[in-house]
Amino acid sequence: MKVPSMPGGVHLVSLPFTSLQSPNLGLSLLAAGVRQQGIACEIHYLAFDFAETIGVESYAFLSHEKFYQAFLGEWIFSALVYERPEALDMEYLAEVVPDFATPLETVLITHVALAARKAAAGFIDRCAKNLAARQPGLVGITTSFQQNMASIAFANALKRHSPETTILFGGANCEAELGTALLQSFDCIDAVCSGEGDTALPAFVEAFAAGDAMPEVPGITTRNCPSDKQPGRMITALDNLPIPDFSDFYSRFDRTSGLKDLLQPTPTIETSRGCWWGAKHHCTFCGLNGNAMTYRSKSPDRALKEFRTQARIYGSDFIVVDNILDYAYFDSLLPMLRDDPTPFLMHFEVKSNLFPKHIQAMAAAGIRKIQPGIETLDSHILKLMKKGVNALQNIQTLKLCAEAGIFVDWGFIFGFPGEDPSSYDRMADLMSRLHHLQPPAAFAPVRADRFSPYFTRPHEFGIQLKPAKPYRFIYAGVGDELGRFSYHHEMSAPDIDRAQIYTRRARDAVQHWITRHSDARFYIADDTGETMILHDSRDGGEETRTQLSRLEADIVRLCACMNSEDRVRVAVAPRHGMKQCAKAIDRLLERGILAKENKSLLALPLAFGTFGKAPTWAEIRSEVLHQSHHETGPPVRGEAFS
Amino acid sequence: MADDEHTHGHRQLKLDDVQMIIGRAVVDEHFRTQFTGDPIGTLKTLGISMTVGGERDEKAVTLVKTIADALSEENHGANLADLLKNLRKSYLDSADGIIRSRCA
Repeated sequence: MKVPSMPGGVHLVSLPFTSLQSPNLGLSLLAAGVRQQGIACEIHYLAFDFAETIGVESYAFLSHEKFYQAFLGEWIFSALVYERPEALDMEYLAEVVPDFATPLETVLITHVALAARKAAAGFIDRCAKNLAARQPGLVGITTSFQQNMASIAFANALKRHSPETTILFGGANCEAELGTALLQSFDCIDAVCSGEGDTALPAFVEAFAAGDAMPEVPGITTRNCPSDKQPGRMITALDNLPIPDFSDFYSRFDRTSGLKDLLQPTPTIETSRGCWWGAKHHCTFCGLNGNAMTYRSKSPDRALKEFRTQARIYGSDFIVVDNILDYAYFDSLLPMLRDDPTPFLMHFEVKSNLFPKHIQAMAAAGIRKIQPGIETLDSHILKLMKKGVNALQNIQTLKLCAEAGIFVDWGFIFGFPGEDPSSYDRMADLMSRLHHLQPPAAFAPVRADRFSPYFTRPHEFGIQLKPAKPYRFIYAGVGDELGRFSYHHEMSAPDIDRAQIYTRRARDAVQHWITRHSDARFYIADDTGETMILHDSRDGGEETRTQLSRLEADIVRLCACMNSEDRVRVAVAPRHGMKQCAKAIDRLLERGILAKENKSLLALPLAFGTFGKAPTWAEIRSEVLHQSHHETGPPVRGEAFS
Repeated sequence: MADDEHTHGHRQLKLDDVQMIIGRAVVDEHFRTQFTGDPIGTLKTLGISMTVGGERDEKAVTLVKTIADALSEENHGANLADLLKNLRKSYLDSADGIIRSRCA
């Protein structure tokens, strides 16, 4: 629908620290929607400007996910928002950063972050002045993850240069009470969009362009219009959303000198919103989706259209930002992606109880990196999390993905209320047998994120919460109000306060796994149908060659995927006898060839003819590029967008 | 200048000093040896005090000792600058553009 023109247009802004490699999907959708209204809309990715200011390598270092929990990105801009004595900053560098960095990394972070901090004021003022010179009608600033401080500093500076500009904040950091806290605390923010802005922003823009200086729109809170009177609208018909326009991102990426040689830009895409698992059983620590857990997905045809359209313009590697894969897609979208000549390659979040047919379907469709939420390898702890999977299913996922050449992205978290400390010693022993499978990227305590069950009902779990340690160094001087701004929280309870101590063996086992993994292999080297040869170098020594007996080989074949011990015994007993079968199973368990959970068994060696160990992402990419059977030609950037 | 910024001709440690110290320790092996051996004493020779208002500035001392310990932890030799350069570059190489906030 066309609206009256808006002099100055709409400007959507994304501040550091955010990815230099992928466009902001939310802003891109909103920009497409505003342009459909006939109003000029530009997206400003100021992370590139900051990367140019401090150097791309420094930017990539400071924004690396390893240091995310230190909130470095927020700290660097925080002094522009909250004055503080230098002693507090010294305390941050000495007491917070070392929690997440090695000693040498701490020194490097200190040096690089202090330089970045010095550059921050000039950068913010320069960017604000540049935008003010464009006489923007309306400015929308997105803030998620570590963008609050830079966003507030920018908004303050923009108001100084252009007091008449209306500034609207949105993004995950504005969800519900978080957005209200920002609006109430900072005069530079005129309005906040909480939740999905797909209908709220166009409605606001339409009314604004028509002359309403501060429109009242559901989902947007202003000083005159509190949020509880204007709940936002959750989008249910995702098919009706525009296809996002990433031209601003790619244009800015291309203009950043030298970046093309260092990074590969990757388009983002969403096929669904919410979480179908969380809607039934909310994982206890998960705060994603805020108040929009209800699961909605695009029709397969609509999703495929977007994949193909975006691949034609931006290339066929994608980051899918969904929180979980729609299982209905296994029978619809995935076969369509598989059969499309475009060589799709994508990252997807999934649930970890995957069967072989699921994993094969994902690999065939180009889903070669998954984030399945494995979290731990103990069934009792998984139950405490309400994950809906058991430990053996998690190990099976790691194994089957290794065989299929799918990279598994996961983190090991600990410290759950109600957990049994002895679980960690058992897992430490178990992990020594899994070195050929993908190790976790990190070992870290679980947090209670805002909107999670731990946060909303702490009494139910017997825990006490406080804002994560870095927050008081960011929101310096807010005192008791700190809890209004915090998203991540530390948990405390008598049974988990010693978690750092009783998980020590497991921590060391994880580190050992990470270190050993590149050399560890465990696979079926030969299978004659009668006997089987295994090659095993999981323990770091020379590769050992083991020949299994016919009985043992039969058992391993039956346990290629999880199988019940009773079924295995029934299958092999006629030839070998029940007693021999039981002894063989015990031997295979003892030697770490089988794993067991209750009455289920799983063979650990990777299948004959597959990778000998979980492949690296570089190996997978190389294989995919080699196998690509259809030349689609280079992506055509700047092509007219339809 | 405020009285507590200068004590007996010394001034209080500032964040700018921290940056300078790290920069110098990385490239100057002699300074690094001196600093890691006696961080407080070395800063005193530069006119920097670890006190504020006559009291020991514990935050400053902790930070300085953290840095000194890190730089002395391994025998870096003349390669520390390269080591840190490669460390910083490695994070660029391993970045995949995906922001993961749920765990470390």
